[in-house]
Amino acid sequence: MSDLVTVENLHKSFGGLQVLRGMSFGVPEGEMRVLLGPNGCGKSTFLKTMIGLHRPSAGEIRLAGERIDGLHPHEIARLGVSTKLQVPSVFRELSVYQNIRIAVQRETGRDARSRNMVIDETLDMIGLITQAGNRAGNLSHGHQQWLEIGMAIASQPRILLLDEPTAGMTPEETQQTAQIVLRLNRQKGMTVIIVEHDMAFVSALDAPILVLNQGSIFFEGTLRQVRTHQGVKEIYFGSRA
Amino acid sequence: MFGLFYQILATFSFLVLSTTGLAIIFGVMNIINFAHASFIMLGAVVTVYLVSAANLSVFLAIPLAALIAAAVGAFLEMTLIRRLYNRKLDCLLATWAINIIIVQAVFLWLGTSQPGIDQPFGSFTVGDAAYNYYELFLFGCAALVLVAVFLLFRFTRFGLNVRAAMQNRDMAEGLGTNTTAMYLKTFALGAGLAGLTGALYAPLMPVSPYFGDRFLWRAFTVLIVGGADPLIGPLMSSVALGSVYGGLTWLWDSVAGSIGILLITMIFIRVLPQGFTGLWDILRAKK
Amino acid sequence: MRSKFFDFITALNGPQTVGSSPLYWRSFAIVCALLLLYPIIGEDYAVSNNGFLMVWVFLGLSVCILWGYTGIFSFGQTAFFGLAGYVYGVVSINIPPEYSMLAAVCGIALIMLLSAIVGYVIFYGGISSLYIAIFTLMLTLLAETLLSRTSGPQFRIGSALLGGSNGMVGIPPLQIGSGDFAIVFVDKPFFWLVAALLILVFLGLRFLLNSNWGYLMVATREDPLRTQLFGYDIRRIQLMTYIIAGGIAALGGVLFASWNNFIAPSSMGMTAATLPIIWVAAGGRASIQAVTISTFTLQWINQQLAYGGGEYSLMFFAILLLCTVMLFPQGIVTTIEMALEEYLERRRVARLEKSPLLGGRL
Repeated sequence: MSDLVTVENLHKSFGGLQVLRGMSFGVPEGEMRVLLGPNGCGKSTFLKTMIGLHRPSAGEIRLAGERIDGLHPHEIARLGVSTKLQVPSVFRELSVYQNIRIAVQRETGRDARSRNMVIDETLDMIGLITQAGNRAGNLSHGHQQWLEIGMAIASQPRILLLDEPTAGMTPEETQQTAQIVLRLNRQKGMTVIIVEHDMAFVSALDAPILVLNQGSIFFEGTLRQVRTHQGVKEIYFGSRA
Repeated sequence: MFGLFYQILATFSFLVLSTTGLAIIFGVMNIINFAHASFIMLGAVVTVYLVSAANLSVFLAIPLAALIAAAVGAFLEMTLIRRLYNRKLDCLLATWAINIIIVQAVFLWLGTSQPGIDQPFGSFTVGDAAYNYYELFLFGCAALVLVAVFLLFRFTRFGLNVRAAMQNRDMAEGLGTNTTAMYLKTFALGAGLAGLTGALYAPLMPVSPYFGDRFLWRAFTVLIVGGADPLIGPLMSSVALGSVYGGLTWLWDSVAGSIGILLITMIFIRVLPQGFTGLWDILRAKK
Repeated sequence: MRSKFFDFITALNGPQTVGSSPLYWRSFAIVCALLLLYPIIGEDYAVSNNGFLMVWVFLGLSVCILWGYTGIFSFGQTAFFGLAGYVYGVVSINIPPEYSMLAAVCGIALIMLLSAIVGYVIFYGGISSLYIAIFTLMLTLLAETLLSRTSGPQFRIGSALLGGSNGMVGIPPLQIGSGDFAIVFVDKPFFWLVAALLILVFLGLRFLLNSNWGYLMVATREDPLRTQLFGYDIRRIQLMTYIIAGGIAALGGVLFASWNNFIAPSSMGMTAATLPIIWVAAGGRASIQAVTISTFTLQWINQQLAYGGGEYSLMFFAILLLCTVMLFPQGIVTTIEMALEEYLERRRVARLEKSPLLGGRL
């Protein structure tokens, strides 16, 4: 069975600075992957390249066999790639409900009933039903992150990309977020790629891990294997460059 | 042929003097100061009154007028502008409003036309056309201004702080730069240069409350085409636009020249929004 | 029938516009009725003048939906307003008066085409926000400069003399029908025409702004990148909105030329370009209702000041703009509206608290 997402030999340079050097991996449909790596390894650049904010210098990204590198961000989004960026960027002046509405209205068109159903379902999944009428900018940081996740999943994407979704969250919120993501993956079969730092979140997810170092995949394995791998410790704590 | 050369020189001086004050404020503080026109006008009006009413020498009146314009700029910065740093569009609107207020205030107080003053130097002829020595003096002033700005930014502590803040404001503040004082000085400097321009051109043109308008939109074109660097920007784009304007004016008339620079600016906005500064950065990075 | 009516009202309500209660709509209906009855009791000159004042609202709305709702600050709407007047003038002078509506349609259509081209250059060319302001300002200056150079008999289209900086004269008013059965839109008929168009445009905008499209406009304003990541092509959203705004400005320009029988480059100058910004900023840029009120009011004040001597009007508007920017960034009318809503809400809550059903004191 071929992978839903394939990244082949991806390179990205900014002027003289090479960030991604030959990154390659694949994710089968319905599975979850966690991308780990020390600062500067290229995680954010990879994510931005994948969603179309950067054009690769070389290499390919494919979604279900079709190339998506080089497309406009909105074109990639329409193919079913949904993203939650690191910095919470909800529509602060609109209500929680309206935020999700914008996320789904393209899919549901003028059908108000099905649209409202999807919005309610999403609110339920992220636990923000009681906050539906509140101004998004007034939400706590953690709730804003959930709202963003809600907006990302509301359109039933084929693949969900999360960039440090638990940044700034309390430990309880982190656990709740892990539950939400697990539910999405296991109950709804959503393919998920997560870029993360927070080891508590990563261990709660219990998914295969890709360790990124200096722009390419250094190691693939389970969390336990990653924890005990000598090379991984070195790239995090020094000695090997 | 000399006529064309003279025209380009004159336009170059005009553009450099009009724009440098604007470019410094834009480059350092990243705000577009529409009140620029009124500072130019204040410089001109103060000069003509100092010369005609107070009988000062024009060479004394000009720097004095520049200082007064700088003072007005400092006052405005302290009271109004500094609240609008993070609201760029609002700052544009506020400075536009201030521009109209100052111009209208002068209009209501002093009337439309102001006393004229004569050019200090005489004229000379080449072929059968007459030219002014004063324009050559202005070219000298323009060159002097560029050199002074260069020295200021390169070799003074103020210049260093400014360049650091241009690169990274938060970092500069963290390192102890008093950005508030720095922005105040920058704005005053920009206003003073504008006043200087007005003062310098007062002997050449009829002075009215609307004196600054003819400088303003041309300065904008130079600013856009030049980009954010307060030195490279005005320098390179004054050369480019000066040649275009001078050439078109010489070929047809000044309206053709104006249309020419408007079109080029619009093309730059579309194709090279960072202006010559951006081009310069690209060329330097490629080395 | 009743439910269809309620569906209609629902479509006009939403978070993008102010007022959605039955009380609001009843007041709205009353205002519309008064508007349409006014010419019957008013005297000719005042009615005609007030009709003219309403024409500016189209220009204000044009700037409003771009700036307040979509985050596009465009100085160019004044140019579209003026150029539409010119197109209407050129066409209507050259054709029989009974076809003047055709000239109006030409004016609006051509300007919408022009705004499509300009919009394409701006939005598909990636020109960013502050530069859009400057680019459109230069466009307006360019239009004014070019048209000011058209004095002289050689500058004519058909029998329409462009007239340089003195402008084009002899523009016939809008008219339907011919001969004895013609309705010529001057004075009172003009007022009815403008009022009807204004109500239509206003309701149309309410519908648009509260529809899916309206949400996209606001999303584009709030966070263009995020909006793209939901699969929306924001360039298309911006361009479409720009064309609609161009059409509304053009409608105003045609009405302007029709009433004035005249159009000049000064309608597109720096001062002319400033005023709509002031109407919108002072009113409340994110509310079509606020802008409607403020445009009419400020243009009325402008006229009054012009009668008194005219020197103070520009000063007045500049001070108004400055105060608005410094003290009322939301706009003066919007601030009043919000205070009013808060007051009504507090009264409502107070009445509920007094209700015996909710446990209040009897």
